[in-house]
Amino acid sequence: MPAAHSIADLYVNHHRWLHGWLRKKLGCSHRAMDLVHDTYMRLLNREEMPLLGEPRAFLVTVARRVLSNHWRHERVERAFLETLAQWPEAVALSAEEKTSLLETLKEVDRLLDGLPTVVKRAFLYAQIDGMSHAEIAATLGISISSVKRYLIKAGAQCYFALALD
Amino acid sequence: MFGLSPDPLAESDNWLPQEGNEVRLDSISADVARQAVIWLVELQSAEPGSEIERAVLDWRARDPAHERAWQRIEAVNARLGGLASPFGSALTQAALTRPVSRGRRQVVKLLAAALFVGGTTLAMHDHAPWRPWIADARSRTGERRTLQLADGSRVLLNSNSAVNIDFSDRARRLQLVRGEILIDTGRDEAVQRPRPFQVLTPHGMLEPVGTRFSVRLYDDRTRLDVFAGAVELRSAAASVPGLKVGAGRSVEFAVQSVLASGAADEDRVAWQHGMIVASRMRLVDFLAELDRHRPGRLICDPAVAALRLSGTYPLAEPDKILDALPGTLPVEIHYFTRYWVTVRALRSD
Repeated sequence: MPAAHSIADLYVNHHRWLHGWLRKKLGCSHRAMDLVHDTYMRLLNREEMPLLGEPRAFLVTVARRVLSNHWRHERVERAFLETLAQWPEAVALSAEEKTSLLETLKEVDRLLDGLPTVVKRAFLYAQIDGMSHAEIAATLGISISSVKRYLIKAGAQCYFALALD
Repeated sequence: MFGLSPDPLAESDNWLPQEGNEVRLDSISADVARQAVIWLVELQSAEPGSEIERAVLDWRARDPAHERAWQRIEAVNARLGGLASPFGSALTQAALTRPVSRGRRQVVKLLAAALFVGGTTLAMHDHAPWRPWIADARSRTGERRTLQLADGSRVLLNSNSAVNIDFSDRARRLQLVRGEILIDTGRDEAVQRPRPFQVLTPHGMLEPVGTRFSVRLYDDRTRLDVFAGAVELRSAAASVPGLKVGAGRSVEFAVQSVLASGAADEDRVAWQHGMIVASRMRLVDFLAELDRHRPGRLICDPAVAALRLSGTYPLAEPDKILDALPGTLPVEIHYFTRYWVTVRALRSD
């Protein structure tokens, strides 16, 4: 019989346990604490609806999403920092610009999630850089008609959450 | 165990974002969406002034659903580009292919290589690629964004704000779903007959005439500050007569009545420059303002609520503002975590 647990109950009864679960995954108590709170913030923002027979199973489901987001953000951030390190002009960017750019990249990464790598790259070249279809074709070693097909596929997902075959 | 009183989780309802009326994906069919993307891709490879541009305008004008689909693309591009990235102009001008510097091009290639390394990210697949609330324009906590609308109007979103954008043949309509916006209306030159510009909130409709004004949505009321021109206010209740609010004036209104009116206050929109400007502001009001710009919850102990402070505070790093408070006021900042923060009276012991 599923009970209606309030978020406060979920917090009071299970946050220590969730912290332990996350600490095992992350190997860091502070970061685990941050993600415990990210998890509860999701509940508070009603991004996740509590449907609870098993409160801990539910919490783990939400925490897994938080965790995968966290790792995904780390991956983007690492790629970003590596890129900046190789890019001498990067010193010209202000801290604010770097932060904004990183946020944009995280967003693009999220929106294009699940698409083949070559489709993502084509979209990034076209949309962020304004490269022509011919330039993208040459860079990726594919035909112009493939470039168009990829851009349409990426655009449908990015703008309309629409999966095209 | 919580270090906070009262329990912030139990009284959380008043700061939950108001979701609703934000889901608009349903209103665009897959066929129309697909066609809009095809047009966008065609435009990217078209010469400026080409027939494709005209064909796209024709397509958009043919059916409000087409225009809605196009607006969604523009809204997402604005969302991605409005983050003031060095590449922002390329994003917002997605329809235009423009020359870019070699250096910038190089960095995008590097980024693409670093970000999208081979293989797909199967482990990341457990969430929907598109949350419905991305549908139109929205700013996250701590983020301030500029939207450039198709008619030349400029809309600034304050932190944690959301609008739906609905441009049709007959009207240019913005629905404020959450938070606060500052609007500079543009002249509607794209069409032969100018369309009225309308801003909707749950409490009423605002119709500006060539003007600059801000609209802030509270749970129970809407506040309007007019800085230039004039704004016609029509209550959501048909029985309440309309009201014209001129430059330099402000009103707060609910569905049934105008609650207060006074002078427009430029300090209230200092956020457009990334600032809070306080002039003998009560601490509780100041913290409520700051709370909008940082994630989590910022709580003011009632014992210090009536303390006053003045100054200009940059919003780029809200936590620095917090940390500086004990230097000017008899308060201490208690961090439970970065999300749960209380400002309370300095203990004398």
